[in-house]
Amino acid sequence: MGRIISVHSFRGGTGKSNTAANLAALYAMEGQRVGVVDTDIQSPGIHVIFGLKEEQTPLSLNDYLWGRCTIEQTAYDVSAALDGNCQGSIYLIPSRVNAADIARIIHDGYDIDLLSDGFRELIQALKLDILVIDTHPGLNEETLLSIALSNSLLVVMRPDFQDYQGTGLTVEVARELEVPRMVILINKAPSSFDLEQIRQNVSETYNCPVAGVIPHSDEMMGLASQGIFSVHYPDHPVVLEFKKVAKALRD
Amino acid sequence: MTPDTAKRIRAVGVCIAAGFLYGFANVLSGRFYLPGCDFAELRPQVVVPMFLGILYGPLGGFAAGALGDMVGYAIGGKGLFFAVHWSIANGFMGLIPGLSRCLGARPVDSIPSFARLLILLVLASSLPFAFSTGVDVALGSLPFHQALFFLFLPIFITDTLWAFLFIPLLMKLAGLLLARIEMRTILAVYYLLIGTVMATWLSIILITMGDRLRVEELYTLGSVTLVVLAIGLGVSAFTSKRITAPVVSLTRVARQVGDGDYSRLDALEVIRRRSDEMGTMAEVFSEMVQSVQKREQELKKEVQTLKVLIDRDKQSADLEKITGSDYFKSLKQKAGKLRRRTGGEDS
Repeated sequence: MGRIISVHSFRGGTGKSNTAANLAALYAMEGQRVGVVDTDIQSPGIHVIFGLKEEQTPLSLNDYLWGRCTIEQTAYDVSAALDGNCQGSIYLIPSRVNAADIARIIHDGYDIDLLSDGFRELIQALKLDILVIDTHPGLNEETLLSIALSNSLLVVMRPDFQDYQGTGLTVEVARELEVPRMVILINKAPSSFDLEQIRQNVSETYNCPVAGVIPHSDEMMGLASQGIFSVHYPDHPVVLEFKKVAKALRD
Repeated sequence: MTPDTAKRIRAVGVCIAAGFLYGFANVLSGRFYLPGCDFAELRPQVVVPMFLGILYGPLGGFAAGALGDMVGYAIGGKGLFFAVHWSIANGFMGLIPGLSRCLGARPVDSIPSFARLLILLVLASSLPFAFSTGVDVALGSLPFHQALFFLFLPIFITDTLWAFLFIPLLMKLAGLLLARIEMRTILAVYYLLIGTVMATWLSIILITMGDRLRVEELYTLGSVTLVVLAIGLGVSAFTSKRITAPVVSLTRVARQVGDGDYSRLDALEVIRRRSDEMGTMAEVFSEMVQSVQKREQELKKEVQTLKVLIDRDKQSADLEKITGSDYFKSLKQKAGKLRRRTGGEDS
């Protein structure tokens, strides 16, 4: 049976999609079969990181939710994005980027239970070891569902006043849903900060382990949209933090 | 060839070259006999063997002095060994300043070491020539009275003054006289005095060379002394300005730092490049301010990280809103079952 890992952040712009992509890549490089679902239907973006263009993905999660196809048909093998470092495989289930489609999904909504059925079918059909879900920011119904389905939840936050309240709420909601494992990743910490102190403070404040603290890196910012950082810089301090997070979510 | 050997060879070469320079200068200065003297001349070149001694040690100074004296005789057509005891005396004139290193007068970095250097220069201008004049007296070439007043004293006084005038300057150029505050202050006064004495002495000599002393020349003498005094005063004013200016800027920057403005530290850059205590003080001050600034930033940082505060009441209300919905209640009910069905349930 596969393990579901949700990557969530209450606010946008925390580097959530990028984190999800890097985690998936790290698992695949270890030889795991990994699926990545972009459930951020209203503002999808993870496909860019895997170098997938919209015209290469005729079917998306949207089509599955509207009953046009099976979920299997929406999975694209993106193992090539790992530049030959992929020991296992990575499948990406993108969401529709098209503005009209996005408008439609917001307007019509969809059957939320289809999503959990889809995840199960996906894991079985593709024999996945791990399914990484890139969730939608906030705590709407599909996000709550993703969290509820997860074996592990990663909450991504920035050490920023605006993120504190929402992160606290996410952590409490996940506790209510009895998610078996939950860790926090602090991202984009200004490098002038004492990272260890941030880690302690956050972990005490939310009573939840902090699996990694990633300082703000211009290097990574510059390369984030051109590929997966962990593939190109496997020994970079940022990637070492990602590895810690990956381990904490799986073991 | 090891670097040490190369260095030694170069030193020997320099000493020989300096010897020749000294010799040629001796020939040229032969025209300027001191009043009443048959041998003693105006010889600013005596500083050459003295300085060589300081640079390369006693042997170097001796070689330059003795060789130069002999070369001078040879060029004058008198033969290398015209006056061996005078050549030896010239050698010792170079040798004695060469003791400066072991006597703590090289480098000159304080008033005591400067005093030791001056004593060495006085000894270098007196002892060797007391010996050579003494030999002349013993040989019966000169009566004692004449030897003292027309040979030894003129040489001793003029050579001492040349050495006092030029050796500190040359050492400064060679980096052997360090610009400590006390050196800056003493040198201003020193050169003021030397300049005055030197000007008076040279004027008297030049005037009496013609064996005449007139009223006009007496006033010339006075004027020259006044000019030298004016220059000396100007120099000491400039020096004291140089000493006090950094104190003024340091004080200003210190006041700005006190007001919490750390941005003006680069104003100290010019002072920091100085090699004296002011430079050290500016350096230490800058480092101190930087560490204070760093500590202050760390303190601010602490305050910032400690601000991970949550409005617990608002959180409870928000949580209530979410967990109170029917959707959430049913989700919670089936969450465990969904996990088991969909993914790999944790034990």
